[in-house]
Amino acid sequence: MNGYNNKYLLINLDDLTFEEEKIEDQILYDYLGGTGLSTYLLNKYSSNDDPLSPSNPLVFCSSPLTGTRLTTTSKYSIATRSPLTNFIGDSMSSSYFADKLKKTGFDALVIRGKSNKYKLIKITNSKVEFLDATNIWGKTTSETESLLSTNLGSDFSFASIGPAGENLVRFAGIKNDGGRMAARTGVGAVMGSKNLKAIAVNGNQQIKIYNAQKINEIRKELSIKSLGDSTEKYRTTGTTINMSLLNRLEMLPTKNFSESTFKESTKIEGENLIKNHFSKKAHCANCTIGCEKIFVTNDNNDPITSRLEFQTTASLGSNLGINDPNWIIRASSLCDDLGMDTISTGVTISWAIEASNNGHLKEPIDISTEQKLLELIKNIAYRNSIGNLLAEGSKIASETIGNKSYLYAMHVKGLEIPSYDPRNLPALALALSVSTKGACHNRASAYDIDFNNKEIFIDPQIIAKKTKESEDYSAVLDSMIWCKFLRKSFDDFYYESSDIYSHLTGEIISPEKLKIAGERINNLKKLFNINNGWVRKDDNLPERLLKNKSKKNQIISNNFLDSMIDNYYYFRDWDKNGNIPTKKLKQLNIKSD
Amino acid sequence: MNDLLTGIILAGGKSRRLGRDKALELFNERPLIFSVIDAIRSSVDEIILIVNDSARKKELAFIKNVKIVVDTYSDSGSLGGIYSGLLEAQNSNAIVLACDMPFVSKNIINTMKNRMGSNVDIVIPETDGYKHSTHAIYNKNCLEVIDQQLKQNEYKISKIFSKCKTIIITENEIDEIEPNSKSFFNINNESDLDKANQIFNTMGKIKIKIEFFGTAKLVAKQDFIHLYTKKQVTENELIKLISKAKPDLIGQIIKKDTNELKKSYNLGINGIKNISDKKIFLQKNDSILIFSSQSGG
Repeated sequence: MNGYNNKYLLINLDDLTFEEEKIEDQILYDYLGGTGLSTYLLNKYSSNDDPLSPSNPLVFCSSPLTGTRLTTTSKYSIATRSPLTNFIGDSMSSSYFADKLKKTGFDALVIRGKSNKYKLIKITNSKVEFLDATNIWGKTTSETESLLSTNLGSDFSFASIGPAGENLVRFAGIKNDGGRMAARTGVGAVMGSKNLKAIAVNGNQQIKIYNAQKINEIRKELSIKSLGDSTEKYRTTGTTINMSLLNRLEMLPTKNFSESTFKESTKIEGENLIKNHFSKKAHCANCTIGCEKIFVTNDNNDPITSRLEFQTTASLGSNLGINDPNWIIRASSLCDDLGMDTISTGVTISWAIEASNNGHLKEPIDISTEQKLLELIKNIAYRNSIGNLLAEGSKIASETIGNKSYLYAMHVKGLEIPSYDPRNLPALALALSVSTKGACHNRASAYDIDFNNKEIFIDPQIIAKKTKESEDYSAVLDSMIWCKFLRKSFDDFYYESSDIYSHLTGEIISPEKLKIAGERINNLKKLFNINNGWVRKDDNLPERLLKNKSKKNQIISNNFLDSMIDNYYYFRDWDKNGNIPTKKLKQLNIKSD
Repeated sequence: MNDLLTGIILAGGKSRRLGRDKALELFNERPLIFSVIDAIRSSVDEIILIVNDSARKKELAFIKNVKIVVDTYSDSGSLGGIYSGLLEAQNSNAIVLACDMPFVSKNIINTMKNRMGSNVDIVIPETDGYKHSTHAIYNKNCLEVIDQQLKQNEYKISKIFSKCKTIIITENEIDEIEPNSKSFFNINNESDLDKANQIFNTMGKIKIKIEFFGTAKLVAKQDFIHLYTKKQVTENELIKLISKAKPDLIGQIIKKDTNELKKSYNLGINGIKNISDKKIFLQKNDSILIFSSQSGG
């Protein structure tokens, strides 16, 4: 089918072999690409074995829009069984890697097995090579990219892990483009468990487009739209300014979610960062918006820069009670270099601080100086001393030390909670609870339901319906693939996306069918989880968020959340326990084997 | 008594102390004299403006539905004006006001009017030991006394009170009708004008806080400002107020026509609940938040 290569590369690292596998048109049509197609391939090859065992597939996937130069579409998706959650781990990144992978002639890579030696997979138009990676094993992500670029040439794009992935830190990410990371759910640990340091791609095959002229026209129109009012925040200040508003609304996770406002937030809020630490603006691959802002330290003669997002400034800032932007910039830069998710890093450290303060951890967790904070982050990445426990993430670490330390572990299904306090954001609270991936704010973007309406919805039925719709819509965004920050540039997302898909592939897909594809993708993710032991109690929030009496007018309670979840299952046509009836699978054309 | 009342407004000319024409000085975006006219319009059935000469009469000719009369005794101060007005009035009783009183109270005027019995010549309010002779009701019975006084070149109005049947509205009574009334406030100089503007901006209004976030905060160069507003406003009115207080926001945060925020911004009241275009009721110390409509991150 136009827009696709109709094949993927099935790589076996056990014996360093590969095969080309075909993908039927119907599968591409049903799962689109990105998170949809990678979920399909994960499910197809899933072993249900331990996530860090060789048999766990690690899937990299491009999308039909990848390589078309439509703004924000140079993105790839990763799917695997997550070592943090034991459920589906999916993560995305914007990168030239996506374009160059697709141009090698493959829509996806499915990597299984484990190499005896440290390896680098090199893929070009006609060749797949397994190169020795001994000389780069142990290097940071920036060192790795720089060495690979020197050795293989700057035409290549890379996806690589840092020391955190090598040491199987359960929240290690996969890095690319010198600053972007598929960070969440521990995809980097899975890559490390296979002794795979990096993948280098350099394809230049042409992508077949059914109606190139039309796609070209749409590309220009969309680029213009992407520079309008609907992306103003992302273009001007970036996301770090979320902090001041969330703090004002008492929704800023502070000190491990024990508080919802941070007294010193003005020191680390985006407005202050822009005034005192702004270095330059950065664009992801093939993106017109340029949401990324690079910030620089200003407290000594050895300035360090880092791309900061709001999530990082909060998880490593207010969540840890840290009020110095310089600490946050250096901690973020270190996490990037070590190849570690900043959200899980911050929230696992905040768990440890509280567990230690309450006598559950023998070792004191001291981050009273910047040096101590950076040392702790390094210890996690290298699994040194207490870092070895923290490298497991808050869920497994709290289960390891037992007692009541789980009370301070702020995760859902094992994935640490991002920095939106869900206590008074009901749609977000529901989405975090039921997300197949665990506490991810992006797979439903449900905060948008809470934020952008004339009122805050407090009817569980309305919230459940809207959250389900938002999840399916996000699945289409993540499969086509568009960047979330482009979403408000569409006048009618489904209509425009179906139009573009049809001009690209030559296959008519109606807006309604796109919606069903979103639903299908989310159902398949859920099916993967069910096959990996999911039960209803896994859809939940930490007790702390449900029973915090100190917060006045808190919307979320145990009963309220349960009621939203019941309604959510209802709108998904699932049974009361959250399982998918065979009838529903059939209706969505999902094969349950 | 005869319920009908004439309104007499002393609209002389250029003020010595202000250096400008007080009647035509702009207040609340229109000539000051209109504030006085509007305050008494519903309590009287005719309005007479007393002016010094025919040139002045021409100058004020644009004011509709009033009778403009040239002072019979020119250069005889307010007393002459009162005389000329009473002489011209079609009713027995007339409320006499200066043209420079921006906050004349309808309630106080109506109370004074009710106190004007058949055997009363003057009803005059007194505050701080001062009798407000240009905020008083006079009966035509006073004409003879005033005429005698003017002929003797005696221009002090206070001299007529003992010769006429005068009722005083005391400070206590006024406080009961309208606590902290600004009805007698008049403008003599620049500083009075500033004060009047200050009073105007807060009268019957509530103080609210406008908080800025993100680019709005960077552009405003402030975290928040305070504004005075009516309790009942529309989004549109609120945006206009904010535009006036922070013109820097126009273009970047507020649309150039100052009718609404740009699509990239939301207006929340005491949180993220948005203000709709319908009228909303604000309370003292409410907060209006201006924040990005893009919640992602």
